[in-house]
Amino acid sequence: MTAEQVKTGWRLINPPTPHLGGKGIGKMVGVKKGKGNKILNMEISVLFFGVLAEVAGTHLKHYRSINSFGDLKHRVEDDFPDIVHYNFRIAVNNKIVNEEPLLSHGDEIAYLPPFAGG
Amino acid sequence: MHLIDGPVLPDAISEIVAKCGEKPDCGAHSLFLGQVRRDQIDGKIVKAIEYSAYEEMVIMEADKINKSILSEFNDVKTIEIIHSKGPVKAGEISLLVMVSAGHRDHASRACAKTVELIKEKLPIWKKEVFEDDSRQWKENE
Repeated sequence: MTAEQVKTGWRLINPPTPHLGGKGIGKMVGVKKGKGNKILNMEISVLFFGVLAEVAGTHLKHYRSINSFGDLKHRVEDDFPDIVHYNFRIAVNNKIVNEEPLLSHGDEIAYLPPFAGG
Repeated sequence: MHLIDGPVLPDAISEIVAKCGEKPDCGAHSLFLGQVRRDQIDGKIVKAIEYSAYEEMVIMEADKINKSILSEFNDVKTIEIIHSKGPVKAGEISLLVMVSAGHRDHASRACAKTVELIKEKLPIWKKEVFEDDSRQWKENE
């Protein structure tokens, strides 16, 4: 992460964190503990805005069998590898998150490039 | 907060101004109009901007801006925000902010702050359209 990215707050969740890996992140933040790490199998809607809608070639994609945010992030990056080259923040149900969020079934995740209103 | 298709037209602006008289406890209204600038970039002239927005989040964030301004400036009575989505031609208005207050100091300072917060907090994106029909995403400076 560059100093500029730290300063502006953009790309806090990106880039990928290979040292953790999808399964590791799932154990940490996405999968309920107890009774043998229950698999959540969530359905999550992912929205793409601005330049990222062009990168993804779509405004909306539904994902199934998601167990954690890390899991979802890797699925999105597998589908749209170029997305890692862009700055963005993540919103969960219309609210920007600065850490990897705990997801719930039916959540709406949005990939938001830097804002440009006005 | 209203997100409207296309530019903020003169009729909409005069309607907002006409309603000033309905706020008898106000002594000052500060009006900001944001216009699409006919920029020249690398020899190409901007003829329009296409706006897109995460509409649900825009409405929620605008509500937060509203509350934050009202709590910071206790003389402010009302805040009106209109922002365009879709295409707006160079020379047309894409943003209107009107802050009404008891006195001019809070009206003008709260209006300026509202515009800053709109640029910082509202999930809106813009793409410049040049006269040769090429396009380029633009970020706020």
